[in-house]
Amino acid sequence: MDRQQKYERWLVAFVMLVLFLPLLQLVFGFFEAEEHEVEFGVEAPDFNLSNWFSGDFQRDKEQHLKHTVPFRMELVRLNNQLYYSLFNQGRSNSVVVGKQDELLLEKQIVSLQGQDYIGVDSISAQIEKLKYVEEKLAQRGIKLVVAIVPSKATYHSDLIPDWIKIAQKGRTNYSEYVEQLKVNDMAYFDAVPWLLEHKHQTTDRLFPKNGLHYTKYGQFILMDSLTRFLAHETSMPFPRMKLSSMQDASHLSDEEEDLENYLRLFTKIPDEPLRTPIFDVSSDGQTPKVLTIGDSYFMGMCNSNYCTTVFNGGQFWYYNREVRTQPGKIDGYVNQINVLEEVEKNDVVLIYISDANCYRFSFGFVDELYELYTNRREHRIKFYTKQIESDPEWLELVREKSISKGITLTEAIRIDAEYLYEMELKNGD
Amino acid sequence: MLFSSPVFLVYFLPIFLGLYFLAARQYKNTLLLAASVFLYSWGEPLFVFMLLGLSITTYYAVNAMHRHQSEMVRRRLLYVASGLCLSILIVFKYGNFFQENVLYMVSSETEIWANIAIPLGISFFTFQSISYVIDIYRRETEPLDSIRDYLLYIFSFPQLIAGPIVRFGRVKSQIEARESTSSDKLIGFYRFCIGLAKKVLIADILAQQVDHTFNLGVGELSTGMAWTGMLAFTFQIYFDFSAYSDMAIGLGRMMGFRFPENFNSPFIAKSITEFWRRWHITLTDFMRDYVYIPLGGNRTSTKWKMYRNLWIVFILTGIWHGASWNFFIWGIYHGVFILLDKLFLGKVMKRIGAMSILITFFIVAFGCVIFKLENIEQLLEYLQIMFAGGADVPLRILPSFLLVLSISALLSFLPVVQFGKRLRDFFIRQNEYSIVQHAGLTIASLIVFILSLSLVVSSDPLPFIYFQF
Repeated sequence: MDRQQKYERWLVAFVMLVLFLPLLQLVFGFFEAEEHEVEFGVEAPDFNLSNWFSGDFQRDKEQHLKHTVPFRMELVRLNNQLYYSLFNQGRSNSVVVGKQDELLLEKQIVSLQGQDYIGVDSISAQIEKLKYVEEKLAQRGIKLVVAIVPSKATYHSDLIPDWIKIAQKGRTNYSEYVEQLKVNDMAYFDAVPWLLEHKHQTTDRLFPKNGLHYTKYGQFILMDSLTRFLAHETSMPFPRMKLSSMQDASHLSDEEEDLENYLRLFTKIPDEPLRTPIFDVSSDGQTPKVLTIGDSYFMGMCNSNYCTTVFNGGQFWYYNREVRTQPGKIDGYVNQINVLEEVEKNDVVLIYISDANCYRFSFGFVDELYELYTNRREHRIKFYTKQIESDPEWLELVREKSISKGITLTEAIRIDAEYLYEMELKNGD
Repeated sequence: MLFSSPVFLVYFLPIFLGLYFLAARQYKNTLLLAASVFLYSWGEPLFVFMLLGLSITTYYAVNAMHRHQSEMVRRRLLYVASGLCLSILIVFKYGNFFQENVLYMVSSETEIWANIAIPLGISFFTFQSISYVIDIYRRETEPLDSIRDYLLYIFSFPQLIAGPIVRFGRVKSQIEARESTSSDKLIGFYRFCIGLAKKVLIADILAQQVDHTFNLGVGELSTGMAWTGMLAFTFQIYFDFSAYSDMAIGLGRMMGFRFPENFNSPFIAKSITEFWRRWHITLTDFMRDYVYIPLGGNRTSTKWKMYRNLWIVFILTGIWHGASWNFFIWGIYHGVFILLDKLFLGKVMKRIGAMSILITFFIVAFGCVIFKLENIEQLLEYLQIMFAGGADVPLRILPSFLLVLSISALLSFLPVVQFGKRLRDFFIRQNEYSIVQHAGLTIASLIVFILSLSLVVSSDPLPFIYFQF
């Protein structure tokens, strides 16, 4: 064998080694690779002839192998970096690189352009329920208020790249909601036109360059205006907020560069410096308690402790799923609490969403409350039924009762749930 | 399992190559056949039995045909074997089209009786089978001794799904005995990586702009966008299809096969006649040898008969691509330019020099719009927007598009100049490299491989356009 052939053989061996590297990593785990979560729905399929011949096994297996391929996260970052560095384009989690390198979220742009419009009928139906709930709450001395704030895409619509803009912008969920709230004379705080109008007068950024949510300064501006609006609308003694100074932030929080994190790059994108407002909150005695049902745009407010300092310890129901009051802490889950009881503990119920989330206005809260007010008995019985079924000891007791009475378990659970509801009424809970 | 899928690149390819390189010579064909049948049944777990059955029947029918001395019996067996192959193609590929059109003519209904699924690679399978039947009938070559080797000729995974169409006579000796040196393995790997990069780093990125454009409604499509879409699709289909051919040729080379070239810088053609000598060369050769020449070819009593033969060839070429009217029109469209070339256009093109390249390119590109849009109404609307004006809206060009379009145009037209030709020959045609060149090409190929892998792991790989044919 001559020298040339010998070197060629070595090169073939080298190529094969590189090709085998992922498999070797899979078996031996030589390198410490970045961990990744396996997405839902990509579990390894079971093999049987039926799913082989239908092709389901092959499809699911390919998906599973793709999502568990060794060095997956490193490869994903490489791809994202390639797109970002070469084309100034985001490839991960629908992040869009806007003009002046501002990071935006595609979903919000889609909403701004009316591409997720759910139609006037479903919005009217939601408003009808909202009106009914508003009346019911008003009978109990509780004020219902809707607050809509601009998403980053709406606020920075001038920075949306041309390639994603559509020619004929349709009607948006936001505009339809605002119109119907106005026609129905309901209490709503629409921060969209107000913030856009004053956009060029603000000294500091309301949105971080590489983040999706409001900066601390943006949160302050919004909360200050919102409390003034609430005080005026409800005639209740809301606290007053006063800005004393602005302090340079030493570093940005994860929240302030969340879009950059979504991009999953190897390199860091340069940030723009932000300042944090230093302010005082003052009040004259007892302030109203506010329950907020909101999206991630209120999460920043909650993390800035506004639930405690401004809303008198009122809960924040994040997407109507998690119950929060303290920064970074989940107190419980909405489906595990007595919704009506919790709602009626407050002076104000605030639905706080960004205009991009109008397509899922209130995240089911209004529907649930409407159901509870129109069919309270059945809902409470269903609630107690669930509680019995989810407690093994309790369920065992009911099972014994059903055997002794000679009835089915379902019937026995129903009897106990009805009894608990009667007791609830009796005790005035 | 696509060649550009993570499962193929990370799991199948290294395991198969590892086993293949280590296997003793007498087991290599068996291993390759087993891997090919497995790979086909991965995508077509039911149709694999039908194709295997058909192939076995064809093999024995052809053997019988070869043994017989009686011309009449041989001819009958030829009809049986080739008819069997063609009938599968007609039933599966044109069944739905036939139903739709017959129903429409009879009752104006559009709902078909039975929706027939098309087996992957059925057109390529049929043509290779026919090539075997006819070559043996013509006594151009001897039939294969072993059924295993025949099945390998038909099922060999590198080229079964989307070509190149490998003529039996060309590959027979390689099936029976072939050598694969280390240099072949390396050169094959470079070619595979060139194909992978063309598919993943160029064609699939162009596809984003193609989808972005062709999914726009009429009200949103401006003239500029329509032309952009045409250019994007023209380059996409070239890079997509030639990528598959490169990958097939590269994989074959790694195993010691020398599959025929399928493309030869088609966009530098100076006429449509020349274009067809450079584009999908194996299909053109097949049509010439098995359709055009048997019809009489150029040796006809009148020129009109030759023109008729050409039209038949191009209409068949069109509908070979798919069972819908746009492919029929596309075939006629190319047939018209071939005739015009024969009548006068060829001479005109020769006179205008380099401009003829641009004119030919745009003729091909308009053809690509016909090729792309299966719905005739949509096609007419699109052409109207291209030439008579569309919506007055700004261009919506994806950030990745312009750079990739420029690269694809550069790579396509570079062989016009000597430097480009030399560059192409260095990467595609050269059969020997110095050790330094090998080292450089190996590193470059591995970088391209990893970059491509990163793209296919991060998104759903797009199937090759020619998989549907």
